[in-house]
Amino acid sequence: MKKQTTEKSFDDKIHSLGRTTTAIMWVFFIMVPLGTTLYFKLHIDILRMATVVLPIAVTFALVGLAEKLSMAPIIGPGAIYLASTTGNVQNMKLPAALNAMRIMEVEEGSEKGRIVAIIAVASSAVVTIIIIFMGMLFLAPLITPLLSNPLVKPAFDNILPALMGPMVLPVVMKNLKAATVPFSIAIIFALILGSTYGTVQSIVMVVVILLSLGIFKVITGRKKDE
Amino acid sequence: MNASYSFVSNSKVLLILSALAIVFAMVQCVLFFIPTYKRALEVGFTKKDVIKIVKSSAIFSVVPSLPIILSYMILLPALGRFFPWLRLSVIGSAAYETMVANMAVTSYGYESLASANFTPDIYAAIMWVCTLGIMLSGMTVFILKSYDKKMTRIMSEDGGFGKMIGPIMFLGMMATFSAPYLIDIKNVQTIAALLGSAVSFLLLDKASKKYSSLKEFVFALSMIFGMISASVVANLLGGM
Repeated sequence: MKKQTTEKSFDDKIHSLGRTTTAIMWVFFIMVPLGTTLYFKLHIDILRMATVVLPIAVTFALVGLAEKLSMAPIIGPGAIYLASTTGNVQNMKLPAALNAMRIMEVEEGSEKGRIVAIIAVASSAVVTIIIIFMGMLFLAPLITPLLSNPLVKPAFDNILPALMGPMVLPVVMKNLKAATVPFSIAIIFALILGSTYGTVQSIVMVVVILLSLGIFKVITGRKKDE
Repeated sequence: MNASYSFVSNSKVLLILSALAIVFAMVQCVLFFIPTYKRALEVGFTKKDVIKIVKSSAIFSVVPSLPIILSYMILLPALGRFFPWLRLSVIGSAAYETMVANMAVTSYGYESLASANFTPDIYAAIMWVCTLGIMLSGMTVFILKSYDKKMTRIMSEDGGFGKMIGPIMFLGMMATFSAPYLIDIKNVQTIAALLGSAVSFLLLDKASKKYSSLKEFVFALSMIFGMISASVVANLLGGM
């Protein structure tokens, strides 16, 4: 009983921490353009700015919503709160969380999995912040010629597909049969959408998940009837 | 960069405001880490386990962080030193920031970010567009509490389907991420990266069963081998 109470309070603590720190973080974010505009007495044409912002905001709100709804049951809300404010979700925070869960041999979405994901995302975020800080101070002019070198450039252009191997393979190997449904649906979408796939990827993800869940619900129902 | 707005884009005010936001992002990480560390010990992890998670996540994050510096260099001439530093350190991703900054610039009548000939007012407007453009997306975390509770209830329901929801969602996510690479068979670099990382993962994972200390490096090493494969193929085939 005592353990259950502690579990509940940890989840609640993470949610209230996530909400509070996200709200504070956004005050800091808004302060950057606001403080600069006020300090230098700059003039902003609000109506024109709104017409530029609105379509971008709506598009990214849908993408953000789809991303969070799909990832939350896997890496847990705590890691999502952190990933949401620190950015680079798909190429860094998600793989870091999945990698840590694999190393610790914990189930995705389990309580232990969520704990591992928070620690992994927090560590990953701090490392990125430090590296970019060094980049701003002195590293950028040194590293740019290296990353643009024709020998090295293809390697860094292909980080995402190189992440797919270690990220996808263990999941597919563990659920070979079940994997065929979502992979087939996603491949069909990729073939139909072509180059627009990338811009609507998060929305495709929700559709793939919902369709796969629907198909599995039908299969489970049939098995029960038998 | 046009001198007419560099007094804004490279100003101390912008440096301080950006630094404050970045420092708070680090504080947020610490605030999450403390109760999670305590909970980790309560549920059976040891201090050594937590160090292992921190170490492997930190090591893994170094390589994907490097291209962000390249994006910083792309944004630097147009947006100055501090605003790209803030945006790429937190909240955004290299792809988002470059795309939105370009969208903002073109909507104000400039050809591209490379034009870099803004007035201070336009520079401020670009900062506002980049910030507000992703604000709604950031706010979507406020639905997480009720969503998480509902999902936890559904997933713990009796019967086979509830227990399958998590794995299916996970597979759906992985399928969506990998589908564009799986169909891009003409892109030999991508296929080389995909296959290189997958094969090295299989081999390293097998080796880590014998040498347990290798386990925490399997993911990062597989990614690096995948990247090397892409580079080798590109250079052998002359950048196909």
